[in-house]
Amino acid sequence: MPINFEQLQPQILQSGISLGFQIQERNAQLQKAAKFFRDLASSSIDVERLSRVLNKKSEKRYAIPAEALIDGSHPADRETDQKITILAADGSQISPNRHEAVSFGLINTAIFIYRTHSTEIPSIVTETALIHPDPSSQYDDEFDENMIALQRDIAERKLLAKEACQLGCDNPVIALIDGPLQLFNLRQLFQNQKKLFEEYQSAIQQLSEKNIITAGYVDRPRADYVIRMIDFLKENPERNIQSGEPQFPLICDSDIFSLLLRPGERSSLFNLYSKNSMESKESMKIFFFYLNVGTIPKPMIARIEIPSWTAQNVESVNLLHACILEQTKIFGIYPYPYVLHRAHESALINFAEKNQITNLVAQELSRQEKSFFQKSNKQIMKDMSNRKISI
Amino acid sequence: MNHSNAFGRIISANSRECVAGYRTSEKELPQFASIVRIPVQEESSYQIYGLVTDVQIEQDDFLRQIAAADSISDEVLSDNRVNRNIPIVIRILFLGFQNESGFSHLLPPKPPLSLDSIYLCTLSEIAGFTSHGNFGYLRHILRVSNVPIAELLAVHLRQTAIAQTANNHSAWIKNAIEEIIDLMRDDSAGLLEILSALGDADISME
Repeated sequence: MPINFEQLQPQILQSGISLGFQIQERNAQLQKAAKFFRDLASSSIDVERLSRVLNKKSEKRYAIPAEALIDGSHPADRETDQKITILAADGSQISPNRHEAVSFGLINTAIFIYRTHSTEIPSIVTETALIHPDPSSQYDDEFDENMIALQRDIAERKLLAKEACQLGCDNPVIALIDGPLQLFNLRQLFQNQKKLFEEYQSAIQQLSEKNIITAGYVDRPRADYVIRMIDFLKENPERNIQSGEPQFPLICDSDIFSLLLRPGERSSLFNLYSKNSMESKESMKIFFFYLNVGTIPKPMIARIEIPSWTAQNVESVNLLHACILEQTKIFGIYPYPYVLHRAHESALINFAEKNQITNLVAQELSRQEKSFFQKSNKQIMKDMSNRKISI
Repeated sequence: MNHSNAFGRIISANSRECVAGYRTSEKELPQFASIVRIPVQEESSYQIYGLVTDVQIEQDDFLRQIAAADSISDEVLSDNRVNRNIPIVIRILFLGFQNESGFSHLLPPKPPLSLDSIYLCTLSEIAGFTSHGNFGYLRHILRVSNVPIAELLAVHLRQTAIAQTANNHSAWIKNAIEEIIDLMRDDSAGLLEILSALGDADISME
């Protein structure tokens, strides 16, 4: 069925008008929030008290200042001409699909190892794991899309920790993850998966013990941790924050920091507060800073999440800052760390590979069970519709 | 059968030509108009002979972005040349084949299979194939489309003349040019273009 463009046209027009109104409102909120932020910076924030109040009252995630100056803007303070080994991790997965000939999950994890200012050819390590459904399992969600995505995230961290820890080189080592470092809602997701949770903790512990500079790079962050903090602190912090409507719903942290940070500068450090983080070990606590990887007419803000052992060492933070900046410059007008993109390319399972793996699994099952596996009729018809025939 | 000098694998093929992928990490880039052979995996004595008619370096948007950067570090350069799976694509025109009966300058009875390996021919293999029969394989070159035929022939004749001279057939080049003049007798404009290219090819007639 083709798209009904006649119906769509007025809807697009209407959404454009709504967006126009929203931009005005958003700009007003941004100016107001930026002013509150500057006011807060000039006053002292009682971090202890703030943490206590949040712990009692909030289920949400907030920024808590980790430095006295909350509106700091720090340029990269050194040229990264020293040799650094950067490891970047990424993963991709095949989610089970009951309409395929065989339903299986697969996780492919890649680590891209890059040594700056050397003539060494970067290397790539990959690990591939097939995931079968466990017919004896009492939990239905172990084989679903979300659980496989979570297993992929853990596999990335495990392989990153393994490769980083066995390097044994004298140069600084930076371990990078694409996206947030912390796996949110860990406890709920892992309620049936104690083993996975232990694997995750163990990977973080290994990185911590070797004191490896570790970071998660969040491109185009939409989080509002700092905005929530401003919203919370601008009035009486003892108020009931559960019932309070957010004052700045149309803006996010990166809007504020695109005003504050010049190209190449990073913000002050913040601690990422959450219910989980208050209860977790020191090594599992997450800090973050914002970094402007863009240019003067076009600021582009990234959020860099780091664990406590990296946050506590200013040298490490400065090195990470300079290194990420250098990486993002490789792509010119689309700043994004080169190593992360290469890890993504290395981990990606393309369509042809997916088909090849599906055929291999189906062939093996057919051989063992002496029966023929084929796609569902629905999938066969879909594939036929999508296939282009040239005569 | 000599299995040295393998440089690429077949990606697609039909009865007249094939396309092969060649990784940039491999050292020797096959040259335009090189003669190659493709042993067909399933039959040990059957191999196809062909001529490289085009060498194309594939691009992707990622490479465009890097090329636009102010400077490219050695690590990025070597990563893209060695690790990234960007092949050089080579087009090969079939010239004939060899089986248990010997050489033939007819088109091969069946094309090679996907992922069959390609080998650069040695001087003696070039001499053996091109001196068979009466230059029948030139037909395939003269009717190829979307390729500068005059340039292709000039480079081919220069390379083959070297191989033939090394195998004590120095008269081969004179006979080959006479055959081309004969084949092109009804196309004077095309013939002039070929002769002009041959003039630029600096071919020794001794």
